[in-house]
Amino acid sequence: MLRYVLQRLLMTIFVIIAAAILIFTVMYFVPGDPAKIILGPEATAADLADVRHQLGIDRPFLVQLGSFMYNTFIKFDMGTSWFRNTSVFGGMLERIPRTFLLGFLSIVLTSLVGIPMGVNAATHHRKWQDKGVISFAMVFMSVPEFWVALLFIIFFSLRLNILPSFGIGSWKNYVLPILSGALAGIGGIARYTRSCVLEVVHADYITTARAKGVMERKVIYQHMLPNALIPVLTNVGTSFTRCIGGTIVMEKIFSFPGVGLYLSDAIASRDYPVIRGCVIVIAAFTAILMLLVDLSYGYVDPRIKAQYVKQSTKKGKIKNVA
Amino acid sequence: MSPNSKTILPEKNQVRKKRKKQGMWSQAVVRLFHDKLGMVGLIGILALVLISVCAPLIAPFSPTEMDLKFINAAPSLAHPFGTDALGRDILSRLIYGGRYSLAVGFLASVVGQFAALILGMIAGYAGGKVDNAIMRTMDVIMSIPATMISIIVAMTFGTKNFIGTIVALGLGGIAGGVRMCRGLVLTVRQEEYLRAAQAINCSTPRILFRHVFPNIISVMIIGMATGIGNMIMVAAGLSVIGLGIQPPAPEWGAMLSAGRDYITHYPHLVIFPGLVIFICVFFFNLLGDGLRDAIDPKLRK
Repeated sequence: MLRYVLQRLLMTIFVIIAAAILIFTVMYFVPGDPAKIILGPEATAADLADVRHQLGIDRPFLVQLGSFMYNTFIKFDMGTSWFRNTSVFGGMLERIPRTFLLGFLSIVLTSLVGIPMGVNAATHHRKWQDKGVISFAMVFMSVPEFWVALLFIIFFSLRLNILPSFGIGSWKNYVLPILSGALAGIGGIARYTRSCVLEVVHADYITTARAKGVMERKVIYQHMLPNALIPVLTNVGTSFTRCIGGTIVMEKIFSFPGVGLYLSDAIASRDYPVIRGCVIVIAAFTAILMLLVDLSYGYVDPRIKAQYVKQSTKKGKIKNVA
Repeated sequence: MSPNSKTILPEKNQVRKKRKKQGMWSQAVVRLFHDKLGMVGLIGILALVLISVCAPLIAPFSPTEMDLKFINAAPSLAHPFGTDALGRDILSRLIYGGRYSLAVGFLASVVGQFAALILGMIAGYAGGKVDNAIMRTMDVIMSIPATMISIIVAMTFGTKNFIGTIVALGLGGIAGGVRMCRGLVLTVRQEEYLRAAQAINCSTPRILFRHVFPNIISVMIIGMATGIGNMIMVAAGLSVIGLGIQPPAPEWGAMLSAGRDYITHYPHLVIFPGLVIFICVFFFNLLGDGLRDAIDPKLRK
């Protein structure tokens, strides 16, 4: 098990570093001279060269990449925003908790509503509950998140005037973004849970449990769900990462000052250090989350643990024979 | 079937012929026609495509014609969906906008799935170092949310770029597709017909395109059909944050994001484009589900 953990950990570190290299390389090739972006179209050639030297972008690509990696991962310095003149790392520290809270709360809401819906549909296979959940899921999977967000703003903020449509300050600011972020996810999770539970509904051990005379409630909660919900766990993990990606649009609509709005503002003003910083932080966050999901998966599902033990002993045996 | 078997076994041959009429694809089509929801999706999509192709015949106004007397007019008989901030008829713009949105969604999904198919086939069939290199790259890409990849690629190509938007959207979802395709190839590799093909010394391209490809294409088609709806949605999302196809073009997402500024007093600028995106995505999801059940009944639950 320790080897599995270590291997996954190394993989995660590799992924984060590779993502940083990837984003730096892509941004390097984005057309447009950064010095011109900063100084505007009327700058003189001498001024441009000066700024280029200041930013260090007159150096060769590999040198730039090297110093970028050194600064980011050793010194935790992601540069200074070109237009705000504040440290990107500081800006991130201020915004990450908000975005994280938003994503976390909407994924909690999604799971709390979606998983019971899926289980309910599966245990009432082909009855009205099932059909209702399927149609509901289908509709809500097709609704564009940002449109729902705008409809919520029109209804709750402009017509009823009970919830604020932008900014941050009180808990009320979180309600609409969380609701609209969760809505689309609920459909997906409900559908996935349903198909996972349906897979185990006809398993032999369920029939055995029923034949033994176990109460139906116990059959569902102790025999069916622990097995069926393992893949759902991974799905919740991946939806969380999707949620963090989705907040870019959502935060823009609600003017919610999180990482997403930071990023989309940076894109609009072409503030390269901020864009890089946002992407690396989100990628690192996603990679760590996937690591946690995988590890918990190995912990919850004994089959994965067993698989790993077998493999290592097999290798040992082969070595012994050789 | 060789010509010899015809002469030797006429009876068996007839039986086979009957079966052959019900090939995998024709069976799938029959199943799809029996699936009510799938048909609703298919007919809806065909209607949307027809409307956008025949846009000049159907649209009551030109999508660019400005009528400054009717700025932000509420829905009325003359303008069923109202007019926008420049006095353009929203219904006509939505009808023309279908051309952009449907094309972007379809092409992005095709480009993405095609790239995923090629990479996945190479990774799955070559195995070893090639497989490792491709899959580790995909792991890296997967650690960045798909929306974000699309955003970065769209930036690289610059905004207001039709092809750039398509590539950006297609690349966004590529990692999942490659992973799925590789998994399929790995299962096909275990099959006996593939060993047989290798045993008679088929060239690698032949094995890939004649033996592996037909066996994995159905799953990729399902992925493509469900992908289109998602791509339309992501494309609209890109327009909202100022990337992708930009406002002068009557693209649905661009119309929606242009309407955001007037949401306080003229909510119809936002409601109708979003509604059309929703209906379109809904049809594609219905069709995708229908196709999945039709092509692979084993998956049906």
